[in-house]
Amino acid sequence: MAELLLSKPASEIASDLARGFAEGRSLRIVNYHSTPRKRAVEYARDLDAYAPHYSAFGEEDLEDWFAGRFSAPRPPVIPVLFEGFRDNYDVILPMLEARGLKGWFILPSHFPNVVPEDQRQYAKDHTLHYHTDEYPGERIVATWDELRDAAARGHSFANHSRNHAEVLPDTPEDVLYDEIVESKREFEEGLGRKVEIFCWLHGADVGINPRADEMLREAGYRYLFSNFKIQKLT
Amino acid sequence: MSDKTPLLPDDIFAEMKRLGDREYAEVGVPMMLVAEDLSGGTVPAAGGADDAELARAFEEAVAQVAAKKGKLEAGDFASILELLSDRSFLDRPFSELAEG
Repeated sequence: MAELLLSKPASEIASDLARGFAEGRSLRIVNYHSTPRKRAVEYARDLDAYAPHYSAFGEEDLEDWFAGRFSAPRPPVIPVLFEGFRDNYDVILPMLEARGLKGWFILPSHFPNVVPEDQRQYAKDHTLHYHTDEYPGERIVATWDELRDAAARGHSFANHSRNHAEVLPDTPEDVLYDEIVESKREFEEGLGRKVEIFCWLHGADVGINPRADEMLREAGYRYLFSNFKIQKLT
Repeated sequence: MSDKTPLLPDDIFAEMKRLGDREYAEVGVPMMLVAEDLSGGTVPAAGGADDAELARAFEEAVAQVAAKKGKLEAGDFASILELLSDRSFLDRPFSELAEG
């Protein structure tokens, strides 16, 4: 199985990124996955260190940021909460809110729909790393009720495909449809509102699979988060 | 911010290895994403001195990795960005926070 792929020659990627940095077109993010309570002191220390230097940034700010209209007292930061684990909602979300930051939940649309007794096996089968089990015998995934609550509190959302899938140059049409289109329907049904940002497992950007890129646009996604870039699609 | 950490350590390979050994599943890892508008628009340039310094450090790190490996792969870019993010996110390396 492939992991990180480059969409163009390394020299072109290097030029793209160097130019982007020089022109101030980079966004700061902090990637989190599972956020167990045993590490709460560590998260608090991190957040106390960086929150005073950065401004909250939500998906509603992307349009202005891309247009050069985003205005805030400090540079924006995106704390990304990958996968949709329950401890993102229980542990780190209140810590972000206490410091005035907005979290970005990037999760596979099917994960919250897996029944609790199957969630650990689903995680193992789909590269969803869950090392500290702090809910023995209970669900480990945030519920759609909790995610809707987070949305109502101003946090942001992106679809991480249906089943935490990567995209390869030869990923077949039916798989792309399930992971892009069907997944959008499932995500929006669960969250109760539109989702317009997409992110593949292993962070493929535009160019790895042209049919996938086309399908993302057709489905109504406006932005693609990848390993090194955030790309505005439409 | 003042008294900033140099963006590149003396041995970038050792530092990239150290950062790559973190427990990604549970710790916060700073990164940077470059914006690219594929919709026909352009993202206005707004770079300052720090941005130029970051770009230079990135190019230097790419050159060092290319000199050692010959050809860069996606994982190399990820490691370089992790390194630069760790050392430019705060006045001191972000990863040092975990050490108290």
